Amino acid sequence: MELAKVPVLVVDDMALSRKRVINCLKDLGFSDIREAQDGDDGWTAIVNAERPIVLVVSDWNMPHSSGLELVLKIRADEKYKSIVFVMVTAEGDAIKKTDAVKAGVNGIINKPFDSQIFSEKFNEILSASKIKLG
Amino acid sequence: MNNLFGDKNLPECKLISLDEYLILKLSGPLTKETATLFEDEFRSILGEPHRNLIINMESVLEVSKTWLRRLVQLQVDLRGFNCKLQIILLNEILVKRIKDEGLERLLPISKSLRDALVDLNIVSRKQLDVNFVNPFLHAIVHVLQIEAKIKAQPEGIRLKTRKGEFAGDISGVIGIISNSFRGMIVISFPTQTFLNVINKMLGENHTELNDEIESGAAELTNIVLGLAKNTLNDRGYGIKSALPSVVRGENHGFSQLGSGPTIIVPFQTDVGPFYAEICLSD
Repeated sequence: MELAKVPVLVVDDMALSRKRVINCLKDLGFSDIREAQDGDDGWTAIVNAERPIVLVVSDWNMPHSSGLELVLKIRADEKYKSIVFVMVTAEGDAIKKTDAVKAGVNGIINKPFDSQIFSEKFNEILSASKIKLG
Repeated sequence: MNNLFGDKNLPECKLISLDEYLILKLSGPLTKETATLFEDEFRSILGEPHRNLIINMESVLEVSKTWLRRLVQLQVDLRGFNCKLQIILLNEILVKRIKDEGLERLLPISKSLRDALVDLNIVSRKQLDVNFVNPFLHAIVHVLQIEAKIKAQPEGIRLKTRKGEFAGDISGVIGIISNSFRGMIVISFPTQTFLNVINKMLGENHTELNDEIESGAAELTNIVLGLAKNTLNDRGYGIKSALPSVVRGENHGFSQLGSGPTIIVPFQTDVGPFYAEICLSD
């Protein structure tokens, strides 16, 4: 499957943040990109997706339901547990990052980033996880 | 910052050297055997220009009697140079242990780094330590450089004396929350500066504010706090995560609640000026 056809979900409570991530994903070649505002919204989007979501790029700290809660839900569900999950966060707390890894995120991209940094980190995560998308 | 122990079987130690004081961050079980390492390693470090020492023991779970004796000796040595040692972020069990051993006067404990700085007379309650402020300023410069390719230059730190001295049209606001103090950071922009920043971040050409791009004010402030928090928590400030907000309104300012200090830092960039405001209330 070419990257342009890989269904992606971007989750962040801030519209501008979602736009930044989407722009970076488009630079990588993705174009089938959906959006959600928090973890609950993201879960609904995953469950209702016409074409199964393959990749989730999610913020951590969000009102109502966090990125951590979303990844825990995904990994606990037989149907969705293989979704590739990348956390994007300004959170530098080592303990929280350990929580994220234990919960099953494939990798973490720290803010701030530009398109080049995002691309490098994203490819490192896929390589380290031996994941091939597209 | 130096990590003095490389072996994973030993406790970890990190020394942070600042102008007026040193922070020693210890972690792991401080056993009788490792106290010898302390004796050999830190006395040589403490031979440099004598400064007060703050020992961050947030990650220490147990302390042997040998370590306690070493710390007491260190206090005595420091007092010979008119300096002092203060412990911060010790867990309740170890606080009780020190009290039970009758050592609380020789090993004084503060609840936080900020409290320790006040207790050591390095800053007053009404002052903001420059070492607390600088990580925010560095973060602002770094975030704008990475996200928008904008070079921001701070133009001096000043104490806020009255509301309205600086005003913006759109601001990101986020709380600074720790166990021993509260505060707030504001990054405030005139409309045109903000639009210029957002347009550079997105590669677009917005000419007026809308809901989508307004969230950029909160996002920038959020990332700044995240970056500054890494540095400050490494020292022992114990700042927790918070959710940011956007304030929008022509020429608005912020009134400070509480009696803590507020500082203002104006910035210049090649896309227009903005300012940052940092305040604390105990």
